[in-house]
Amino acid sequence: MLNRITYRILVAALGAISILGLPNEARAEELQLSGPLAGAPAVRNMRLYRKGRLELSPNISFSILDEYRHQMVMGLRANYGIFDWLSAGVWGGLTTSMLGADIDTHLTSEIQGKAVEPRECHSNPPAQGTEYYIDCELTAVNLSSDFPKQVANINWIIAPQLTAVPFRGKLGLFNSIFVDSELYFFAGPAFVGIKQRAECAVGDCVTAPSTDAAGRFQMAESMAVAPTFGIGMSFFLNKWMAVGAEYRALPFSWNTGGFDIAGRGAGSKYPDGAISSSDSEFKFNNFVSLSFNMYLPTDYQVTE
Amino acid sequence: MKYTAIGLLAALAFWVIPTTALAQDEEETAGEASEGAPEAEATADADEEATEGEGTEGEEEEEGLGDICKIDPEACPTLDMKKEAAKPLDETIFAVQQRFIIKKRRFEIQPFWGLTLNDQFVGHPGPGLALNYYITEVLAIGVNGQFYQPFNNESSFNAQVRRAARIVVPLTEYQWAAALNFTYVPAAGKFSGFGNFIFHYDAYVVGGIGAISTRPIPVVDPDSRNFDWQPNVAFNAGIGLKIFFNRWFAAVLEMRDYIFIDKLENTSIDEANPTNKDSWYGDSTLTNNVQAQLGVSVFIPFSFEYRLPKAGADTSGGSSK
Repeated sequence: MLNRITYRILVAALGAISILGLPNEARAEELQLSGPLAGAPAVRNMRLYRKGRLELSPNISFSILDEYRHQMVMGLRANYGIFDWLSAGVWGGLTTSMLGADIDTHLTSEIQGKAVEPRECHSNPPAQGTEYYIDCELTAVNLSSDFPKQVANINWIIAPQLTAVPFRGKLGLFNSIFVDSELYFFAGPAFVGIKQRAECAVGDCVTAPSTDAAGRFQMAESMAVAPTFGIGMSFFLNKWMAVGAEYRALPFSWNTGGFDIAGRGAGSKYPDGAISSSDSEFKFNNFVSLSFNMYLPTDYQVTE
Repeated sequence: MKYTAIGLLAALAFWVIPTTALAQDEEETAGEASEGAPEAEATADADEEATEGEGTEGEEEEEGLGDICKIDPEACPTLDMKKEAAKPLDETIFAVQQRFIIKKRRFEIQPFWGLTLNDQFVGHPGPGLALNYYITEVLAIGVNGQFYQPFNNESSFNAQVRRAARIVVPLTEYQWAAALNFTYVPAAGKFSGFGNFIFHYDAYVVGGIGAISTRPIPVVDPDSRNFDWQPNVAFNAGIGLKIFFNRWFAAVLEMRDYIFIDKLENTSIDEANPTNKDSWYGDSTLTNNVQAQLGVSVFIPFSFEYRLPKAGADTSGGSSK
């Protein structure tokens, strides 16, 4: 039998052991830090495909979601890898229109075939009261004798840009081919050479010098400055070659159809009989590019 | 009753004391290692002796096979542990050695929102749902459907062209679409983000056959014409990208082309009998409804077990693949 004092001492001692025995700090994290992966980077021996190297990429870009004319851009991209995750460079190219090969959309053909040719507004103007008289009067500012010739196009593009590469990884194809890959973002200003219908004042748009003798509208070349940005992926075939695909936005305002669509009334939402900057509409101008990338020098650095 | 408190405190003391041994400071370990080294070596020797004395090499193999057999009995007899052990240590470690997620025999529920990419005159956005079942890791069969009816919207571009060129552009609106699809996943990969975290993705192709219900929007003679919805056979093909947040949840971006023959409104009017339905329809045209589909993917069941354990990781600091 324990006396009262002994009992109290025993209780106090066990209580103290219990309290002292409790862990006084969280150790799980410490264990992890002292494990075999302590301090290890997410990726070891990572190949630095960009750092200190020059990237040269011939590429071809296709415009998408076009209204009247498709654009193919034969381009070249040059980047220098300041870090592996950041490159500075320039992308630019010439379009098929600049090279003399317009690629019109189905809508352009439809307008020429159904709204221009049957009416003969310029070659054989209909008399008042005949079938197409009203149509020709109301479209005199908008439709020339050769609609595809009044459709706007991009001639060239040059865009200094920064490329950030936050994502690096690997891709497995068919469980048998494995390639290093990267996902990157780019942005910068773009200088765009465009050809679109020349401006003309009210009353002048259907007469010389706004039209030629055949009734074709005059065109004018200009340069638009626009932001450009996008996202892309590269797949490395070896130490110095890769293939890539990217999406690029090139938003700016232009008059793609050469139409008079605005300039009069509340909010200038109604046609005013003139071709001016108010007829230009904001377009996102989307491009998809395919590229073949070469990196110089041909060897890369590797992280620890 | 008098000793109940003592008993409880004693139990508590025994319960908490072992937890202090679970985590030891590295420095302490290093310091203690030198002091306790002989003891540790002695323990290791004792263990080795016990192993040698108690069991044979064959029994060790059976133990190793037993582990695998517990996981997958079918794989049990196919592994020759001697050969496995004899493999060179610098054997190639594949980039995607053990898939981040196992899809085989799992269902995938994929709600999405579709956006028209190639119709400048009428937009056909709408919610949709896809359900897939993965027959293998890379092949799935499934169905998908989309509801367009309340979301069709005419663009301002349509009005501009009509007014500027005085031409009528036949328009079509969609009601619903449904299809039976096959999905093939040829590509899978992973990305390291900012050198800090890793996420997985895969890319797939999809194709199928189904139906889409459409009707012309009357623009030539809206006073007389009121079209009924009609289903059309539709083929579809697309590509998609799936980014996994965990082993059952992913974000999905897909581009799908729904291809069907669409009946357009007749651009001329039967003046004698404009209410004659037979005169309402004009040309039929092959239509490509190209959509971007943004959605999420939920795999069910949420969890799974790997058939085989992951092969040994390369801890030698060898070259990165």
